[in-house]
Amino acid sequence: MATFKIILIVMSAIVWISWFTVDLYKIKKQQSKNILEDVKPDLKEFLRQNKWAILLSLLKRAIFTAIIAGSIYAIVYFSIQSVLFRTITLIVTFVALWVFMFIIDLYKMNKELHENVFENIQPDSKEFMHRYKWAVLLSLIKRAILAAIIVGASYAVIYFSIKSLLFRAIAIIFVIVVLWLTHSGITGEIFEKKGYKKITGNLMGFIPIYGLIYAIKLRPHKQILPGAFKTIIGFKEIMMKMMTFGMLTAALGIVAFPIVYLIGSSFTDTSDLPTLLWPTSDLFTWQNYVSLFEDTKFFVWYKNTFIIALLSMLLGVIFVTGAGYVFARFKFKGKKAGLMAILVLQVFPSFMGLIAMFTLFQVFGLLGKPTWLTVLYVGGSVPGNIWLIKGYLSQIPKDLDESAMLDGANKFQIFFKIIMPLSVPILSFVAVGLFMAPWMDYMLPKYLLDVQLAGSTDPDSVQKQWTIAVGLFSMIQNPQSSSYTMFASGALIVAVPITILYMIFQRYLIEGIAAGATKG
Amino acid sequence: MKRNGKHIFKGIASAIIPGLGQVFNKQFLKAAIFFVIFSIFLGVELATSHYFVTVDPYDKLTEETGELFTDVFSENFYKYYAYQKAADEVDFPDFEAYYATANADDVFSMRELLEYIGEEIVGASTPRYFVLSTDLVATDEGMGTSNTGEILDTDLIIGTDDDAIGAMNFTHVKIGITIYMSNDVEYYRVITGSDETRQVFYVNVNDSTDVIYDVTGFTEYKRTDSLYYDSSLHIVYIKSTISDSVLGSSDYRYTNVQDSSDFYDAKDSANFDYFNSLEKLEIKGDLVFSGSGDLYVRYIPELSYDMVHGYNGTAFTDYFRNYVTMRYNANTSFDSGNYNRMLIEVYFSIHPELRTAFETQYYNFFYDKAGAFTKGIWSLITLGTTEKVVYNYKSLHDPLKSVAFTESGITYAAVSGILDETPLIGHVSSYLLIQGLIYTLLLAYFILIYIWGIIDAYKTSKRYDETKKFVKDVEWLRNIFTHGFEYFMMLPALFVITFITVMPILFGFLIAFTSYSGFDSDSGLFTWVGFSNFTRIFSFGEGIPFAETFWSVLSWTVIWAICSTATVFFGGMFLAVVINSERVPFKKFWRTFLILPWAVPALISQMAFSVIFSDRGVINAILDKLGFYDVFQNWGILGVAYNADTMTAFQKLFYLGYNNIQWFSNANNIWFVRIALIVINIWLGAPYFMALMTSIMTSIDRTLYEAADIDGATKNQKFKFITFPLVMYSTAPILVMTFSGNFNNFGVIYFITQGGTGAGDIDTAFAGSTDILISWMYTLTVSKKVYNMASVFSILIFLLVGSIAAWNFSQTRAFKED
Repeated sequence: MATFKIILIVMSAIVWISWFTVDLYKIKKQQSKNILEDVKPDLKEFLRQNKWAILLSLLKRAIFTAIIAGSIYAIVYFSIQSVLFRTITLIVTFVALWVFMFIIDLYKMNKELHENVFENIQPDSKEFMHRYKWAVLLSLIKRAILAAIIVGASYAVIYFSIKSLLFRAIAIIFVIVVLWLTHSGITGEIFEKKGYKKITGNLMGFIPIYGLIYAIKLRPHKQILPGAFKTIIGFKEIMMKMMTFGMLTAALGIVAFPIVYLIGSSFTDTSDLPTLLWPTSDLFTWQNYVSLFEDTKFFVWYKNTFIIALLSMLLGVIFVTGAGYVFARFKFKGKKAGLMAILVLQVFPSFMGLIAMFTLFQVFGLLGKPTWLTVLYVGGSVPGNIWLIKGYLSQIPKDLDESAMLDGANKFQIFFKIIMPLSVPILSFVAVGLFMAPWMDYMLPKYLLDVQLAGSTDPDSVQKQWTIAVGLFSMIQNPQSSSYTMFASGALIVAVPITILYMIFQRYLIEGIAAGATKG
Repeated sequence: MKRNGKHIFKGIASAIIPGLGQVFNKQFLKAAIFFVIFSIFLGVELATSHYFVTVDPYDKLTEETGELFTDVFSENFYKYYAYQKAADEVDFPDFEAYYATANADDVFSMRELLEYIGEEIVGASTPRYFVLSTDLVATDEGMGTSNTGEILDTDLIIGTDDDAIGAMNFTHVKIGITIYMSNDVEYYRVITGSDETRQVFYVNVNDSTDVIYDVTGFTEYKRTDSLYYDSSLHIVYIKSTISDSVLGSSDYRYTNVQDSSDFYDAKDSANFDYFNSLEKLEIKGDLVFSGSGDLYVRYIPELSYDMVHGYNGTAFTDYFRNYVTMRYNANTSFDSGNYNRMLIEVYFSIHPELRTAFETQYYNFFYDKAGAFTKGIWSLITLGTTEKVVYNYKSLHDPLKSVAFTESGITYAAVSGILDETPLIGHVSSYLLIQGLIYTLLLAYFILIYIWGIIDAYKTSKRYDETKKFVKDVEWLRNIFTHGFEYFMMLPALFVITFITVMPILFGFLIAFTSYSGFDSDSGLFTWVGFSNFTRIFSFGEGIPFAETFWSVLSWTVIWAICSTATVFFGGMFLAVVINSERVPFKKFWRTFLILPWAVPALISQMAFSVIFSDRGVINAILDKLGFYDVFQNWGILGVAYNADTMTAFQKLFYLGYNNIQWFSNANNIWFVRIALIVINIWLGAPYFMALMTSIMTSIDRTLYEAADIDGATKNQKFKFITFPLVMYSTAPILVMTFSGNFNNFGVIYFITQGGTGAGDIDTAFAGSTDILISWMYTLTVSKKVYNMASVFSILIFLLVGSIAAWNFSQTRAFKED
């Protein structure tokens, strides 16, 4: 309750002052109408002339604010005390809101009706109902739902704020952030209207209150029409702004939550599931990273995965480049069939080959040897990558080839000296794809690299075969023997480089995939 | 006509010997190449074959590296025997008679000797019932009869005295097993079948037609294999540990084998003296008692279940045994492999039907002698015919195992490393299938080249007729170089594709038509079953419920794919629209930050989500602190145990969990789990679409919007008629790709929920409540080894998803251009 009282008092003060300022402004405007344009009114003169009006305004607004604040407080107070009161308040608010919005809709519909009909025909209510009855019904329902949502949400927010400290804290932070962003947005738009750069305005707007005042006082660069600012500070506009920023802030929070949790739990010192978003100072530790390398085979897994990735990248590029070039450039017998075949092969789920690969590896005794997984990754990627390279290379104009041939180069020379350098972008895309694949693959390594090697005396021989994906999952899979904090630290070590890479190349990667799909 | 004949003749020439037609065409290099390839083919076939080598199936039995038991050995043995029997002043008339016949051809072979030994042992080890005599001596010499197999008059011989045996109404005392008793009736447990056909039931010890299925509340006796004998009363007690709900802790109890109401508990101190007076019984055979209460021991050599019962030896076999040991000590090149082989030979001579089976099964023309290509084709057709077998000859150890002995002051050490059994792995169908596929594919390549040779001979000859010119070898080489460039470049990739992509897919495809499933099939046989696996999808109510589960998993997969794609798409679009609106400053910041979920590797975030949303995880902890737990508990959807009878519909519909909100382990409200998954997937997928759409939106021509403004369009109209259609058009292929990707989205399901409740249960055919087709297939393959059904499902997935993806792909410009 105490917090609520404080908030209520602060809000009332703000409302009072702003209301009062609006009044002042109105007075000033009225004043300026009565005075000639070239005489500058000064503050002292202004106060002296209008002191009664100002005092009256101060008092009036204080009383209004007090009444409003008082009623709010009373409602809250009695709602807490009595369920009946709470219920009645909720119902009354709901109905009031509903009727209010419904009437606005009716009004709009009426206006529309008037605009569409010739001026001299007087539409009456029967006509109105006849035309708009479905719209009326729809509006009734829509507004009911909307009112219910608004009332319900506000009730929930108030209820939880009272019950839980955490909720209150989060709600307050959320509201402050949204207000702050709205403030910045308004300031930016004011700057824009006055002919300055919007960005500067937004930045200025980060300074609370002063930024706004600065923007208002700013000398406009261009002519401003009287109604210009209405679009910025209209009620609806501010509501929309707050909603937009509210959604964005919420999205930000949702996006950040798991990531912050992951980072936080990697620093948490607990042998169980970490339940705090970020460890308190007494639970903060670097130990998890140390134990990761000492107690688990993390380093071995990392090494395994790295070797597989590197090898498949090198071998894959070698195998695929030539074939892709041939498909792009030449017409030869069986090309169409070959393309169809590649297309068909690409859509087979990689799963189908899993059992065969297991048996094959078993026959040749390759189970449990991580490096041989390279063969699978390279093989599996051949169809798709041929397609990509072909698509890219078909965009390189054939004239290059022809002019080179005129100069007497044979096909090998053309390939190595001209085409290869030009295809570096797509080759690096393919190479990156090949490199990334083994890190994120779980199905294959779990099946093929999880075997008891006959004749092995090392008790950890099974674990030493794993790749990162299998190893990390093993840390959280078994509820009895899990170590969640070590998992977090391992996950971070793997994820951070990849995330940074993706963030840097995001534009290229996203549009690359899109382009690959549409343009081939 | 005649002209054509010449060409055809050359074609046929190439058919007979590849390259011959080219020789007639005066293209010697080409001829050489074709011939070389053909020789490579022949060479591989012959090199991998044993056409010209004798293959002895007996070589598969054990590794012999030392001196074989050759006929020399048997000849020398006879000499030793003759000397020894004279020294011991004994005679073996049966053997003499046998030897006379066997040596008629002047050769006493090893096989003949071992046959005789087999007969001798069988003769000494007649299956029979012998009485537990009154003056029992508790040694390993049996009771009343000696280890050398002497038969007494009172023994009832199985096969001769069957009527008397039947009249005695014997009951077998089972030792070493667990008995469930209730109301003085005893049952023992029987488990038959494995995996799908597994059945557990309990059979009455005294009446095998009395079968029950539930033994809750029964007393459990874990019978040891210790028997104790009261010689004065002729009562045998069996020692068991018992545990039942009343008595609690296990303790020893000695129960009269004939009367289970007569027992003594070890913890009753009054019984101590009595127990000490009992003698431990070591018998060679099964303990049985007759209907009239007499105790007998049933002796059947080679009863397999406890391997105590072996064959008896004779004095003759002792000679043999000693001789072998002596030779072992004298000749260090003799090893245990030889010995084991010898034991198997004796075993075969005792069981001639096993010998015939072995010889036919383990000497298969295609498997053992044929070359790689022939064997490959045979493998594909038959998938192997020989089952694995274990020859267990421990029962021969007593008479024949080498023991150390001392004679004339010399100590001879026993042969070491003698095995109890020799397992033989027959044909392994999975290996055969793979090898068959590989070689058949290679064969296909060779056949292609062969046909190419024929056609080439024909065509070149024709061309000569028309142009009167043979293409010289040199020119032809140059031609290849310029025109064949593309083929050369493709060769490595082609090779890789065939064997690493095509072959496994073919293998997976073929498995769907076999019976490859279960833990044994990895190293054993399976057969072609045609389409019966496919019809199983439609056969409801049989065995493991694959049919019901398949359709329910399929429907959930489709729902999941549609919902997750739609929510992600529209979620991303919503975010993109919000970010793109004019009100929002610092668009780049928002975009960069909100794309984080896409940048973090999906694997990591999925695993992280399984931790975050676990029952005792951070989300539940925070919800508790926020006060939601109290609200939910007030509403009755949290904190109460699920009770279908007493809960209201609201509670049932929104049931969240018992102690904590069970996001993914909620067994009673699976739709809660499924919806939670779809919502979480939005976090994972929407940012990508958001980024994609923002970039598309920013690239939309500004003039379109300006024109719309002039026409007086509202914001909604601008969105509906300009932004939305353009975005949809550009992202439609990606939408289809996302749909098929989500259809097979293994990571989200597996890492976050591990399939949900019921995963791995046989009742739901191993599928969990949130399993989609691919995660179910993975469990089937990796944990449960039901490969054939998994293959069937993957074929169906391919048909479904593949056709969508292929259609999508074929719509792209790249494909159409070509």
